This record gives sequence, structure tokens and C-alpha cells, in this order.
Amino acid sequence: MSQAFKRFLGDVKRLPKIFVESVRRRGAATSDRGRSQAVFSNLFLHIHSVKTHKNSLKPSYTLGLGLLTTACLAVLTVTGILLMVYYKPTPELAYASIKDIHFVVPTGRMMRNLHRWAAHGMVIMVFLHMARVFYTASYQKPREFNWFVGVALLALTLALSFTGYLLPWDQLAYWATTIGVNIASSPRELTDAVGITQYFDPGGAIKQLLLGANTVGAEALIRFHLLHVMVLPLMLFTLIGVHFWRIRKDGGLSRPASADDVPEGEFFARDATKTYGLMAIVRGRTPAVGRSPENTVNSWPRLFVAEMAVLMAAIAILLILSLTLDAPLKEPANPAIPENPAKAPWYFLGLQELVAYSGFMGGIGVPMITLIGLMLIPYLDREQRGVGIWFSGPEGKRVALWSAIYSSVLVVGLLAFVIKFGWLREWYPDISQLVIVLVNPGSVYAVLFAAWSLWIMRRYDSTRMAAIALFTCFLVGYIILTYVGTVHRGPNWDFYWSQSHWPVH
Amino acid sequence: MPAKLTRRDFSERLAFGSFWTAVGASVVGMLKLLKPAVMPEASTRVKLGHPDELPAGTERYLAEQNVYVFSAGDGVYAISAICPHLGCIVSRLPEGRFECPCHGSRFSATGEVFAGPAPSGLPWIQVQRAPNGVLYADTSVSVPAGTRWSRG
Ligand code: HEM
Ligand code: FES
Repeated sequence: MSQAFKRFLGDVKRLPKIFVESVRRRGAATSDRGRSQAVFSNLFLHIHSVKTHKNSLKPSYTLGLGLLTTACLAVLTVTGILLMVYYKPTPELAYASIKDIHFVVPTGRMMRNLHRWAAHGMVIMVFLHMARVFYTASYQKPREFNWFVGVALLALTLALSFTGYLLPWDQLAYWATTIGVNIASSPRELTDAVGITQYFDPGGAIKQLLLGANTVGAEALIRFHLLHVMVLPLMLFTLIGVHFWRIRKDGGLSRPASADDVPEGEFFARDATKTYGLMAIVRGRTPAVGRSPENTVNSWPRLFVAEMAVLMAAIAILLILSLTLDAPLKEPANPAIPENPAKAPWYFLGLQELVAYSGFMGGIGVPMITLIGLMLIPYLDREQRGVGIWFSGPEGKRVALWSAIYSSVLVVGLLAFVIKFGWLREWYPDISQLVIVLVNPGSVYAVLFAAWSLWIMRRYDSTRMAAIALFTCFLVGYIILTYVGTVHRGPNWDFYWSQSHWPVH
Repeated sequence: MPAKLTRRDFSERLAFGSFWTAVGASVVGMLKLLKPAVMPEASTRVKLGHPDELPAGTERYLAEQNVYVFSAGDGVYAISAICPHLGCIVSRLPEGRFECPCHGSRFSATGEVFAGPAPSGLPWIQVQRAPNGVLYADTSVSVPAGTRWSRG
């Protein structure tokens, strides 16, 4: 037998092993060096740096919330693609195709349920993740821009869920979308009030852009479908790429200054200059330059194992939900009879509550103020106070607690008053719409929250405390309004203590 | 003192300026695609019938167009049932008033808003007589409240 033939036979036998080696480009990760290579020689793993700070691995720090958001998104992407196999975006076929998916398509119901629960989950997780980042002051320099990107991700997440809501083309979908799109066109309330709609009509332009028509119909369904399966996901994935890349470029996750303290008596090499030659061209603090010894561990396998555990937990919970609770499907859309009550998805019901006083202020004004305010937080609070510490310390905890109480009393009080006694139009039927747009529960809340925050800023001489006050007020207000809109509003948007008191019809 | 603008700076700015102008112009051009040239909708004109078929006291609801048509002693008028707040369909109560199921706006029998979030009253719709003597309503044309086609 020739040498070459022998070698050939041997290689055939070892083929699987050779192939795996060619993929991994290295042996098993048995040494620190191997573990480092495991991460940076793999396109997918090198999303993480080779070393991870111990603080970032503490479950009580991130609560795994960003990752849980990502997990929901992964489930949404996979199940969404599967749903697209059968879904047909035309008014004649949409409803029937969802019904098919639910009752006929093998595993269709499971995929639909998973898609629905992951969507709810993603919204909850993205809110909680934002709250975690906020309360640990992780938006502070150098992470201002990543917070900014985060706010855009929040808006995109909500937009995805709103566009998805129309697709089943049932009564709820049709009427919630009609209301939503009319909210988008509510700048008309203002332009009408000053009489310039004829010349300048941003509300009408947005509506036409979204609907491609004057009412929700075939054109609107195509546009929403396109937004939901293409445009918004592409934007979301792109921005998430930026988000993750920035986490690393900003020096990993935030952490308290004390997390880099040297434990007494431990020995470390004092200089880390050696390994970071290439990074000299990167400006700012790189993971280790000038701060050795670092309290870090190898990302492989610690971080990856932790992440897999979170992902598996997320999928397990979503599976249990999907096995026990079916995604709802109402009667087919009927443009002649509004669903009563026509409720948007729950996370918009707080806004729907405000919309019930002024479409413009509740639907555009307050959300815009909130989004812009959120984006500005890191640029206006530059104190670097208590970064990486929950509530920035005990004082912040106190401010958050008092703000929560202040906001609860204010929101519940004014809401109870309005439910009992009505609002301006009930007392002065001829009142100008301009006054109602300016003075309504939504704007009253916003002004009183801002006033409270300014007062806190003076009292504690700290912008961080003012930010905690403002954020807490909005968060608590949002939760209470959402709760009232979800549980206590029934037909005609009247107040009911519980759904069992709704009139039957 | 402002830094001197070198020739290289200038051509660099020119290059980037023209690039972004071109990108901007293309985007504006593409956005035009999204604006429908023709609104895809059914005809907004509805036949109501000859005035004799609508004696005073007649009330009709055109479910497809969401329009109420009333005939009173002096004429015929039409009121849209689409709530000016956020577009739900109002229902008519036995006593003649209108009520919106979505956020509880309330309107008088002639469409004026007296409670709730609606920014204005229910729109009145144009009613006209065609040369052949038949009355038509055009839901795309709203008229000041009180405008009606009058007999006489
Ligand atoms: C689609 C939505 C989002 C995804 C998938 C996402 C994902 C992540 C992940 C995986 C992390 C790593 C740390 C952790 O798990 O907490 C992170 C960190 C971060 N996120 Fe997000 N996020 C999203 C939305 C947001 C929002 C709405 C904000 C704030 C407005 C935000 C601001 C930040 C900031 C500033 C960091 C760095 C935190 C630190 O250094 O401690 N993100 N994000
Ligand atoms: S749509 Fe009629 S009150 Fe809101």
C-alpha cells in the first residue's frame, strides 16, 4: 500500500474529527489560553469579550433582563417565520388563514401561542430591562448613547407589537388599529382648532402613509404586514447589533467603582500593558488597561453557561404558557360595528386611558414627551453618582419610594375625580378644543411629575435624584393607568369594578 | 479665528455634501411611492331616493357608509356616524342622541358634542339633488352643521 493511500484511509476514518477541528480551529478548551481562543476565534461567540467582570455575572445585577428580551425576540423570529408560511395578508383570507393555523396546521396553534406569549414577554422584559439600567445608573457616561439606542429599541418593540395586532383581522384587531391610526392622525385636533388643517395637515399625512387609504382596509393590511415582517425587524436587528457592539466598546457592563477593588492579600501582576497592544488605537478605557488586577473570569464557559440557563428558562416558561393558554381570536373584522370596548394590547391601555380625555395629548403628546425625556436623561444627568449601584444608594432608594407614593396618590386621586365628576367638556360644553388639548389629565400628570422632580433636584442638590424622581413617577403612573385601562374599563369606556359587572348585550 | 479652509477640506466637504444630498433626494423620491395616487375606496356618493320617497319624519341609517339620513319638515340632511374622536361608530339612543362606544363621547340629536373626548361634533354630510331629481349624499364632503337640502 502506498503511503498516500494509507494516509487517505486514516483521514477517512478520522473525517468527523478533522471536520470538527476545522470548524473550531483549536483543541479542547482546557487551558486559559484555550478558553480565550474558544471565544475570539468564533464569529458567534466573540460577541462577548474573552474575560467577563465578576460583577456582570451577578444575577442580582442585570437580573438577566436584557438577555430575556433577546430570548423572547429569538422565539418571535423563529415562530414568526413559521407563521408566515400559512398567513395571507388580505382582508378576505387573513382571518381564515389564522384560523387554519390555529385549528388545522400541525403545531400551528403552538407556534401562534408561542408567538403571542413571546410578544407579551418581550414588552414586559424590555420595560423591566430599561428600569434595571435606569435604577443602576448604567446610562451614565460613557453609556449615554447606548441608552439612546435602547429607547429606540423600546419604540421599535412597541411598533412591532402594534403592527402585529392588526394581522389576525378580527374585530379587536380592526378596531384597535382604527383607533391607533386615528391617534396618529390626531395632530388634526390641533390644526383644526387653529384652522390650518387645509394648508398643513401632518396628521392626515401620517394616516395616509400608514393606511394607503382613508380607512383600514386591504392597503393598510399589506402595509402593516410589510412593516411587521420586514421593515421593523430589519431596523430592530440592526439596532440590536449596535446595542451589543456598544456594550463592549463602552467597556462591558457598568459596575460600581468598588467592584474593581483588589481583594486584600491576593497577588496579581501589576501591569496589564502586555496583552493590549492592538487596543492602543481604541480610545477610552479598554477592559483592562490601567486597571489591573481585574476581577474577571473567563467568559468561556462561565458566561455562556449562565446565558444558556437564562435562555432555557425563558423558553420553558413560554412553552408552559403556550400549552395552557391559547392566543385569542375574536369574530372576523366588521367595519360597521365597533368592538365594545375596543381595547388595544394591554401595554397601550394606559395611553388609551389618557386618550379618553384628549386624543392628541394622550396619544401623541404624552408619549412623545416621555420618549424624548427618556432619550435626554443621560445627557441632562451627568453626575456619575452611584453608577452600578441600585438606586445609587440609600438616598436614591428613599427618593424612589417617595416618588412612587407621590405618583400613586396623584394618579389615583385625579383619575377617581375624573371618573366621578367628568372633565372640562362635561362642565363647559362649549369649551374650545385647544383648552382641552392643553389641560387634561395627561398633561396635568406630566406637569406635576416635572414639578416634583425639580423640587427633588433642589432639595437634594442632585440631578441623579431628580432623574430617579421623574422616572419613578412616570413608571408608577404608567403602571396604574395600564391597570385601570385593563381591569376597570368596560363597554363605552365606563368604569367597572370588575368584568362581571359589564352589561350583557 | 476660524480655521482656514484648505483646498482639501473644501473638496472633502463637497464630496460628502453631494453624497448626502444624493441620498436625501433618492429617499424623498422613494417616499413618494407610498402616497396613493388614487384612494382605493368605494364611491362616496350614495343614492337616497326621490324627495317624495323621504317624507318628513323619515329616518334612515346607511350601514355601509355609516351615515344617518333624516328628513324633517323643511328638508333632508345627513349626519355621519363616525366619531370625530378616534373613528368608532356611534350608536343612536332611543331619545335621538348619539353615543360613542369607544371612549364615551356623547352627541345631541343634531350631532353637537356635549361630553367626552371628541374634539368636535359629528360631521354633517352634503345632500344634493341630481338633475334627475334624485337626492344623493356624498360622504367625502362635509358641510357646516345645519346645512340641508330644502324642499321648496
Ligand atoms: C429590543 C430591546 C433590547 C434588547 C434585546 C436589549 C438587550 C440588552 C442586553 C442583552 C444587555 C446586556 C446586559 C443586560 O442583560 O442587562 C443590554 C444592556 C444595556 N441596555 Fe439593552 N436591550 C434592549 C432595550 C434597551 C432599552 C429600552 C434600553 C434603555 C432605554 C436599553 C439600554 C441598555 C444599556 C444602557 C445597557 C448597558 C447596561 C450596563 O452597562 O449595565 N436597552 N441590553
Ligand atoms: S372614538 Fe368615539 S369617543 Fe373615542
